[in-house]
Amino acid sequence: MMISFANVSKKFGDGTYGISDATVEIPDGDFVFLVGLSGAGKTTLLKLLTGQMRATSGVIKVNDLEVTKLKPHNIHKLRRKIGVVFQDFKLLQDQTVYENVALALEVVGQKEKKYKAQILDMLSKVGLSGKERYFPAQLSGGELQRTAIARALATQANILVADEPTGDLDPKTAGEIVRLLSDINNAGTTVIMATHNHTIVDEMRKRVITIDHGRIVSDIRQGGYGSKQQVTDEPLEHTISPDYDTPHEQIEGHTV
Amino acid sequence: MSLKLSMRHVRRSPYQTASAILIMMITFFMVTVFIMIGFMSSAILKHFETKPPIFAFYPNDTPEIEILDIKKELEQSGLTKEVEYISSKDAVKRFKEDTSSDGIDSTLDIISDKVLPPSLEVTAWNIADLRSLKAIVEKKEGVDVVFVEEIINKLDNWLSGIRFGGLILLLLLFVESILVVWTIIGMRISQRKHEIEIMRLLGATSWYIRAPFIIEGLVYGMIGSIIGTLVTVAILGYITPGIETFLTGIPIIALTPQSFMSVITNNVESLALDGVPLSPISPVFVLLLVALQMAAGMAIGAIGSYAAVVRSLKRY
Repeated sequence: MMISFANVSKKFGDGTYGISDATVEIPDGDFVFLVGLSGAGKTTLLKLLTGQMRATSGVIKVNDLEVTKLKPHNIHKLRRKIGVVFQDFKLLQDQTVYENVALALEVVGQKEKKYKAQILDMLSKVGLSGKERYFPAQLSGGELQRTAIARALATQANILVADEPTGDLDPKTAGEIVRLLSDINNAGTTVIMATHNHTIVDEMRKRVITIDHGRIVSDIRQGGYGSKQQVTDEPLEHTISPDYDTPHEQIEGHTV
Repeated sequence: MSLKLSMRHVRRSPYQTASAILIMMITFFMVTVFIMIGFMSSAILKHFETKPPIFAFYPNDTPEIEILDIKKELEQSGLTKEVEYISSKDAVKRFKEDTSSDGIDSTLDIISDKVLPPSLEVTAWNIADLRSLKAIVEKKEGVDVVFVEEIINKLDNWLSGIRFGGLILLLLLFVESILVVWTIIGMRISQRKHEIEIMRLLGATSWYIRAPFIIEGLVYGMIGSIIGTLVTVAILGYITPGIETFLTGIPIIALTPQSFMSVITNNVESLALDGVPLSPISPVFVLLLVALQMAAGMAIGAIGSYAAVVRSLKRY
């Protein structure tokens, strides 16, 4: 499964650009960090990918599915290929861990007889065995995010999109979640994670795409937070040093 | 699955559910009441239409021979289809026959041929000739002439007014029911905004998200219309003996599937006016009424909920 953005722009009603002329390809099994300041365009890029927003111009493809041409009533075809995880977990508070994960399978029309074992297996993979009957209010932040990840992957999605999944977590728990995402990636799932957490990005040494003011300013394989070197041989037109609120020395220290 | 979700919505907000069902119930209570009024008014009108158009009541002391002379003159005019002479004795006899089943036999003794006047019942070939015939029957002084046509016209005006008013009221109730379902389903959608957003992100189809809300509207319409109809039928069953006593002598239409269809198709001519009493109400009739009202109720529920879904779900 290949994800491709070709000259994609998203112009908002007030005339500003959320994403401007973005071109990027993400092959199967990649692990990509999307970094940038708040408001840089990370979430917009992910929303364009999941069909929550429509691109103003350009072409977005997920394998053979052209996202930019999808009619609203066909968006579900795209969403079933992509699992999504959010900073605020987006779990249903009045449903148990099991029911929250089951929802993902119910909406795609699967019967409980068939998916029960699948859910238990998925909960075991994310380290939530024995917590099936717990309600979200009874879980820690890390466990909530594990539940959300289990739900995102329950339908065997090949792509996992995580928008600031560690934003509400302490550093230790955040590290655990990222390791879980890395395990998922090692099993073959493409993972795209938007984050502000430079420690994690620097430790993981994965592909890092930096966005600034809606533009992709750098795309580096095995990069760190604030890396400037591009992944392709061609010079990147918009490679600039973004003005991060992270101390400059720290960014410099991880520049490849 | 959609039904399961709908039932979950219904269980979680019992007050909203109750208000939706209650408004549906009131609407269909009124619909049934007006259908019953339609039945009875058709029956009463039909009853009068089958009566001779002119009744001429003569003073009790009028010699029979004089009345028979008038009868002869009417027949010789060539304008009458039928002229029947009812003597005072015949009138008493007829009255006793009509009221014998009402359990008021003891009071009949005071009704003698001194009380009921002799009369002529005149049926014309042509309604246009009624005035000429009236002139003949009025030759004897003190005669009291009653035109059934006038009664029918007066009754018809009254009933038309009631039907028109009823129709307006029912239209308002239908609109109100749709708006209430619309509002309640709209509130439900707002309450479940978070859940809907998640389901969409998980790949739910548009129909998967909409169906539970539309089914909910259908359920409101179905339950409300069934209760509303059954409550009216139960009340009707309870008050029927009173109606029958009140309308003594007028055969009340039988509530049968055939008569139901006659009213629905406005084919009053085919109504079976054989004096079959209202009670016991035919179970087939009740089933037919419930089925039709249920279909109407579900249609109202579907319109209300679909409007809410189209309007509210677009935004999320």
